[in-house]
Amino acid sequence: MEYITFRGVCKYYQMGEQKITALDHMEFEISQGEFCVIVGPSGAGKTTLLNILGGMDSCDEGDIYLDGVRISGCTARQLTEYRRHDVGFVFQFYNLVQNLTALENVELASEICAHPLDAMETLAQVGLRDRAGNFPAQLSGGEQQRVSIARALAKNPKIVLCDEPTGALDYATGKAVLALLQDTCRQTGKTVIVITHNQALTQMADRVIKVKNGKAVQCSLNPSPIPVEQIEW
Amino acid sequence: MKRAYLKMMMRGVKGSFSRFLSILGIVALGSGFLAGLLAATPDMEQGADLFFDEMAVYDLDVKGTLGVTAQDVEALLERDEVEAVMPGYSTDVLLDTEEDKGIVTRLFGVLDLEGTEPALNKVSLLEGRYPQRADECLLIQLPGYAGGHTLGDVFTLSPGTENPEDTYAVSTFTVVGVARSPLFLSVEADRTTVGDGEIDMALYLPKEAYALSVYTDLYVTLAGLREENTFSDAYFGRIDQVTEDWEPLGKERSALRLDEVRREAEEKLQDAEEEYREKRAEAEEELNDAARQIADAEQEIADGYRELADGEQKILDGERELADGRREIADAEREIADGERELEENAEFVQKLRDAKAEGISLDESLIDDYDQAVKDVAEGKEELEKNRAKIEEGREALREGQKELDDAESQLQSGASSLAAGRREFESQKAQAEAGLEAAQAEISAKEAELAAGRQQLEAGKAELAQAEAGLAALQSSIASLESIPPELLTAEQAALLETLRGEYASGQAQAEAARSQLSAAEAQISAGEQQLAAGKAEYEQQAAAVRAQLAAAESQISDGENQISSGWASLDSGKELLKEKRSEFAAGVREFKEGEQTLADAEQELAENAELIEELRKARDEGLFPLEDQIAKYDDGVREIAEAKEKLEEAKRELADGERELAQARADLEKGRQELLDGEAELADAKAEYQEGRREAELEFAKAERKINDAREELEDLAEPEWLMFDRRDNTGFESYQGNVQKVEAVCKVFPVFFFLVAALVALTTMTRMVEEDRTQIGTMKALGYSSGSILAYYLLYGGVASVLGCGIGLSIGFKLLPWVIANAYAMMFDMPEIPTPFSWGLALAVGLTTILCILAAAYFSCKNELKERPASLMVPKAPKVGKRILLEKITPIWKRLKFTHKVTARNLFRYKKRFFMTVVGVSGCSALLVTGFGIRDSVGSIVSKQFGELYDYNLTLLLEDEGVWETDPILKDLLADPAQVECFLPFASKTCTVKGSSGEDSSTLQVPMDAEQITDYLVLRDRKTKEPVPFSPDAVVLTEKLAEELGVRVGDPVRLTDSGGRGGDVTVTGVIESYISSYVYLGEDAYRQAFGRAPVYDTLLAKSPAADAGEREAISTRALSSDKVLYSMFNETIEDNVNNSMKSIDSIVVVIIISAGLLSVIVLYNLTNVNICEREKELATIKVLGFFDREVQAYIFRETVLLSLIGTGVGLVLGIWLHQFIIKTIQVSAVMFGQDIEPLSFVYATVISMAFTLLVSLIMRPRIRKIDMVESMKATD
Repeated sequence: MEYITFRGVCKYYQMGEQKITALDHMEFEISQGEFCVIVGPSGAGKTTLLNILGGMDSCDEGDIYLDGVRISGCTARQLTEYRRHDVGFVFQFYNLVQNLTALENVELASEICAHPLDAMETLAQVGLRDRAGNFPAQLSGGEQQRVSIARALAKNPKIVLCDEPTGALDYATGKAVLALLQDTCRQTGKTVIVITHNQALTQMADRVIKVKNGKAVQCSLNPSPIPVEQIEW
Repeated sequence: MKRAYLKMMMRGVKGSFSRFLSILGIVALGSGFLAGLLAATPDMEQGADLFFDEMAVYDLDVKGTLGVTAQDVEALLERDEVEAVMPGYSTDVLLDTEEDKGIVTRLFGVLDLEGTEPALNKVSLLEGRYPQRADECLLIQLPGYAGGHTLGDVFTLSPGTENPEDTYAVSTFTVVGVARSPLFLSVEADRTTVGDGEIDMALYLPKEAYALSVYTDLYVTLAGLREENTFSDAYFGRIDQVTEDWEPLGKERSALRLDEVRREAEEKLQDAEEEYREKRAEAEEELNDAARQIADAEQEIADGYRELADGEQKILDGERELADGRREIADAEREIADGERELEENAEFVQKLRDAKAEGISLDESLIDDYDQAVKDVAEGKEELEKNRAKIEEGREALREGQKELDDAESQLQSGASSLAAGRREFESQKAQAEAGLEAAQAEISAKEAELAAGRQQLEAGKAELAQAEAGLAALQSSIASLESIPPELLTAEQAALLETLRGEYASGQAQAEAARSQLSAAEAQISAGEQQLAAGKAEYEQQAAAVRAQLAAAESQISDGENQISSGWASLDSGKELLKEKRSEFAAGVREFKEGEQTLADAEQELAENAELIEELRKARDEGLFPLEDQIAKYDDGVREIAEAKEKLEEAKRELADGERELAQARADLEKGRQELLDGEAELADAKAEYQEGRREAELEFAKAERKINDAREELEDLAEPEWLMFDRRDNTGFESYQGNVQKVEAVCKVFPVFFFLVAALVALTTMTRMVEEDRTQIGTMKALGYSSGSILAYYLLYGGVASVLGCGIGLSIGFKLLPWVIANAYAMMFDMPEIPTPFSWGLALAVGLTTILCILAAAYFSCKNELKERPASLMVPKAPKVGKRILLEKITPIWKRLKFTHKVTARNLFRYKKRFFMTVVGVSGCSALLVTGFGIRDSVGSIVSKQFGELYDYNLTLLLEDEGVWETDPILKDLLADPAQVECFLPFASKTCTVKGSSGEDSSTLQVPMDAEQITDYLVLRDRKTKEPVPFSPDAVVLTEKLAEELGVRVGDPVRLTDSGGRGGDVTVTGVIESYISSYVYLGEDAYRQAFGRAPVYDTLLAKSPAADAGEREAISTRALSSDKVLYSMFNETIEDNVNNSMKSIDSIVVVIIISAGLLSVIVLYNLTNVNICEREKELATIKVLGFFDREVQAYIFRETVLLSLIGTGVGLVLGIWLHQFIIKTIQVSAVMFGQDIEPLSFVYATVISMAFTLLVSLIMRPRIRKIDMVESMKATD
């Protein structure tokens, strides 16, 4: 069994009278230490997939395993524990607490998990040692996203989930952030999963999963991932 | 308006429903609370006013010191201002049931027997019906009385009631109905002078239950006053006016009444005198009769003795006669015996002579010799014959004896029968005599009884007169009672003076009545003694009669025995006769035989016999010279005849003698009996004489008493004081007064408190509105960009706020107007027995409160909108730049900051980041906690008065108001009571006096208290400064004022004050001290200071005492004991006052509860609102930390830690604000004479804090699901 395994995962939403199938027997696997990109158009089930994988939601059918632990069928409390210890989350809009400094935002996450990395070290790792004492409002978007990544990493999670990490950033900064994610994956051996609608990013991934109509239509390994600097879009 | 716009608005409401609700809630709470509390006291007043109007309660109660009459009713009805007059009786008594004794009861005799309700002072019948008989009644139980009597209970006048028959026509009262009366509203009982001094219940009776000739009360209603609120100044202004106007009328009517009383009394006196004279004549007549009877009896006894002496003489005579008779008989017998002997000697010779003569033998001497020869021949034959003859003679003799015996027996029987008959006759006559004697004795006893009855009748007449005098006293007493029911401080000068004179009169009347009573009872005792003696006489009489009857019966039985014996005698006599007949026939046969033998001899002898005797006789006669012999025969025959006659006479004499002896014996016995009777009669006579003497002495004593009584009554009549009309109004009714006082207390709290409450609510509603507008900034921008005009955008928010506040006001007002007056009135239901008060919706108040509220909200909406709308749409659409995080002051204090947990740092920073929210929360929460502190504080202030005044400042606990100075040493009851350490430990006489005190900036009425011993005052009172707690010195020239009084007069130590009493006397003194005191205002004066002010010595007529009585029962017993002395006018335990005050504190408590609940509700809504805002604003942040893996608990803590901290800060500020608010409210609601405590107990702060925080936690609990429901997907969304 791979590090992350999705087997026949289904998710339905009841919208009024209608039952919408968000995930339809989705199946894929991701190995440990891989940089995985999940792509698909809007409404394909990306966000649902992310929610379920991130422990923010639970599936209705199927099994999900992470590092041999079955995630599907967890209670809300277990899911919270899962989020707390095993998942690092990078948001599209950074979601930093405005009232906390960069360092404190990292600490916000590291304080609560079991084996955190040193917050300052992590911040240094993303190149923001000097901005540690600044409040988010004093940082640029890229810097804020880097704080966000540091916050995810500081938890020392099993997987890092990134939801459109470049969505709110300009092209160059986006690239820099992606580069940071890719480097992190390489250097720390963390499994990084990036969810995006940007097909171009598949080139930099070790594994690409294409999602369409709630199904993983393709789950392939990329034999030669390209560094993000070389990708254009 | 566009449809989409309308839809948007509906959605707006729906989307922010919790905010809509919180605005609505705050508005409802604020307006409802304000309006409800403001309406509470008018509603309470209106309720009571309606009740009083409905029950047609009197406006004035006129009492006359000598009663009031039907003419007085007419006189009042003639006046224009009078609407109705109801005469009636009102008295206070002690009643008993089988279980309860001494229930202090006020009786109202105002009903008729028709079973209809009274014209005035109606009652609302709760069960049963109106009385239809004089001994039926309606029961009104005071709210505080726990007797629990019901229909069918029967009350009787307590045995101690004096002369109940003078006042009441009935002696039992049967409950046929239970009612409620506005006259007995309160648990605080009316005062009275009977029992323990507190009325327990009241009975409505038919007028017929009273026996008084005049009414005690006239209940009057005045025209046009029913429309006035009975608590208003207008009402009492009119009452005071009328009371003053009627003073001349009262004087006039009273003078008429005095004349009438004098006239009536004079008539009665004359009647009494007349009656006395008649009675005296009668009694003397009776006594004279008795004396006459005694004289007659003495005469009879003397006669009896004389007769007795005569009888004795006669007996002696008879005895002498009998002795003579006996002698005569003996002489006669002797003579007869002599005669017979002589005859015997001659008989044979005479016979011979006769025989010879018959044979024709010539009786001469030749015969004699022939004969002598023949005799010898015959003698031998004769000898033989003689032997037989002797035998026959014997038999004959025997027969004769037998016959004689029989004859004797027969004659004995005959005489026995006749004497028995005589004995029976004698017995009958004696019996008749004895019965006559018994009847005479009986007659004497009856005469004695009649005499005693006459004495008793006379006694009753004396009692009736006494009762008459006491009825006057009772009227007097009821006047005193009515005066005394007025608390001494309220007594006007005239009333006080009147009270004094009344008391004086009453006391002297009482003493006289007492003397008359004791005389009467002595007379009664004497009569009873007479009756006892009579009874003893009767018993003795019965005994004697029985003895006599027994004797008679014995005699009769003896007589019957005699008769029996006689009849058996007759029987044995008859058998004896039979036997004798047989013997006789036997004998006859013997004789015949003998005769035959004899015949032979006779034949042989014949010649001889014929001649021999004769010869012999002849020989003798010849010897004696008795020739011729013929004379001898005649002589002999004469002798025989004479002797027979003598014998017959002798027999008769003997019989007569025997009869005489018997008669004499009888007479002797009779004489003895007569003597005995005479002795008895003498003894009875002696008794009768003694009785007569005693009766006369008693009668004379009673005459003297009756005369004295008549004289006393006359003197009393001459001394009769000018009567007076006493006028009372509703303020004199304890229930009314207490209700009014309580309403004022509530009013004070209700007028100030809710205003603050309303302010807090308005502030919070306002802030919420403002923040809403600010939050909707983007939407406003979009609308503006879409081309909506500023007006229509403004209209949205105005409408939103308007709808919320109109709805809120509607809900709040309709609940507030109903609920709060109801709750507060209900709190009073415990103290006051009243029908439910009306809770009308007051439109004026509603409009004022509603408009204020709605305008506030609209203004807030308007101004905040205006502010936003000034900006351009473009800048509006761009979200406001997120607030820059800031380091806070706390971070600079590194040691603390470092030690803080990370999440706490966040909280700390958040707190200071959102200043608006911070201030809004702090203001809201502090407002609520300030209200809580105030609520508890009011209770402390009011409650502490009681515990401080009675617990700390008063060491004495019993006040006794006396009739006069010094009675504690002269009155035995009081002396005993005060000497009993189990009842009263110690006491100090005070002079107590109401007077006006004037200082530099005001004047007030106050009570002067002058201790008899200045040194001892500190044993009974604590005189100290409130702030420093230093003792204030007291000396004979000290003038010490209570704090509130000093404050009102504007004086300090060293300032002069002018004291003026009701008589206008008075002078200036210098204040030497001001002391802590909370209830009532007093001036404590030393004796010298008093003299200086009034120029005379104080009258010490009040005792302050310390009693160890531990419970209400003991205190009641002591009060009852004290009041049983007529020298004690009033007895009051501080504990009772304390209970009363505490009772009214309970009602304050309930208001405090209302305040606390409202403040709590307010804080819930405020906190809900603020937390809601807090969560709304930070939804994304919360979603993010949820995604980061915060547990729900941690997320909640993240938010609520802030809320709790804000609440804590708010509460802290509120506590401080509360102190100010409390002080302000206490100053505002303080009523004169009472000084509330200024301090709030520490515990109240604790309560306020705990409640505040508890509500915070409650809100947190309410909001928890809200946080749990925050969707993590929110975190994915773009910034707001």
